[in-house]
Amino acid sequence: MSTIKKGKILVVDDTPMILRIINDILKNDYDIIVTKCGEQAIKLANENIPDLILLDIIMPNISGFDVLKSLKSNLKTKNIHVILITGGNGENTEAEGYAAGATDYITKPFVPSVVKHKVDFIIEHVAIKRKLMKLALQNGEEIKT
Amino acid sequence: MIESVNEKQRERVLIVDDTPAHLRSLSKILTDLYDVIVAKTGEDAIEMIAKTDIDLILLDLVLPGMTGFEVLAKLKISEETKHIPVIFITSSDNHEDEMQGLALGASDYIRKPFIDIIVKMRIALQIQLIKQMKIIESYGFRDGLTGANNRRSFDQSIVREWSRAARNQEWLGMLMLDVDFFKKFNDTYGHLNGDICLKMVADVMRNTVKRGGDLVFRWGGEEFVVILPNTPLEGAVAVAEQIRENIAKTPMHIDGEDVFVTISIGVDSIIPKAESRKADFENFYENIDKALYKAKSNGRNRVEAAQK
Repeated sequence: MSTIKKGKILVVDDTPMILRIINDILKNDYDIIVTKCGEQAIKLANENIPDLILLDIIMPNISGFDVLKSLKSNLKTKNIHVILITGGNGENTEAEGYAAGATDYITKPFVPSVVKHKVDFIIEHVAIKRKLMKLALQNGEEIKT
Repeated sequence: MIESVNEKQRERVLIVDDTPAHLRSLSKILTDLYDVIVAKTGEDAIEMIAKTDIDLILLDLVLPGMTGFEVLAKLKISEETKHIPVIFITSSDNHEDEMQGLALGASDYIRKPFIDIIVKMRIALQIQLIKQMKIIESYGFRDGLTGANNRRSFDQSIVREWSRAARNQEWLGMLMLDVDFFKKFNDTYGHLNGDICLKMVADVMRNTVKRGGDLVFRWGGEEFVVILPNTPLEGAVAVAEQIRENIAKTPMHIDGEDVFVTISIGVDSIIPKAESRKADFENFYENIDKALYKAKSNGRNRVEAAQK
């Protein structure tokens, strides 16, 4: 039986196993789009405007950081939340990710319930922001985001 | 701008950690952004949370006495505290702990040693959500015409403020005010200008009460109420006088002419008994209502304190 999905999530990782695991964790609640390639991720983000992107940092050709920077410099995609998937090899990577505009990060190897919690939290955040903007619009008020 | 709903108050963050060095470094990271208070034990934290409004808690997992898990579990069973986001901050590298914390209702989990930007960003995300939730809630508690809090909001706020004043044995001041000759104003200038008048009164009231905890409500019609936590009678009378004065000197520009209105105010303040009953509040309310009536019958454009 199909259920109403709470949002659309793009998952970007060059390891098929990781894509499969994350898809399994989230597929019941969200529409999932997956890709193994950074260039494709930028294209899919522009075409689909997902609510959230889970983005691996270390990938061939274009790194997760470069994908993040590209998304954040594009008006169309700059407000999409991004959770970085890091190798757990140092907090400097995570700090760099935050500085580049990431909302949160997940460290490999990850625990499914933690991934689910982080994703649910950000999607709730997105839903609340939408509701707020709708209310502000109805009330003829400005909203700073 | 809708941000004005909360612009008076900085969010308050409670840090619970038994290591002074951690308390110091976390306070240093956060103090420019938030009001920071600290506790060294879970028991102290619970006591502080009961007395103070806290927006977010950073909670160490391993504490002397109650553990972080026990503190969180206790917060989650109370209606008053279960919505406060709790972020665990701990040296434990154990995924089981993280899973247990999140399952108990923690909002996030930060590992020590932490670095500044990670702590800041994690907290900022939670605080942003709290602010947005507060604004959404405020729409249901706002009077559409004047932007003041509505009657529904008053009913909730007075229960909260009365309980807090009773618990802490503090003064609770309250003003009731009414626009003088409002019916005549409406008959003379029309209902649309009547609406402008009510909006002006509410705006002046909001701009006059400066403290974050002071609350302005539209009671109904041309009547308004102000709740002044932690304010004895002299302070409440002073605020009332200031509101009266400011409204009397604020012109409305109607058909090329400056039009002024005045208001009458009844005031009282009380330290509610620790075991208050509904009748105690009703009595308090009636005394203020009588004081307002007296202000009207003594000539209007004046403040009267309730008789003891």
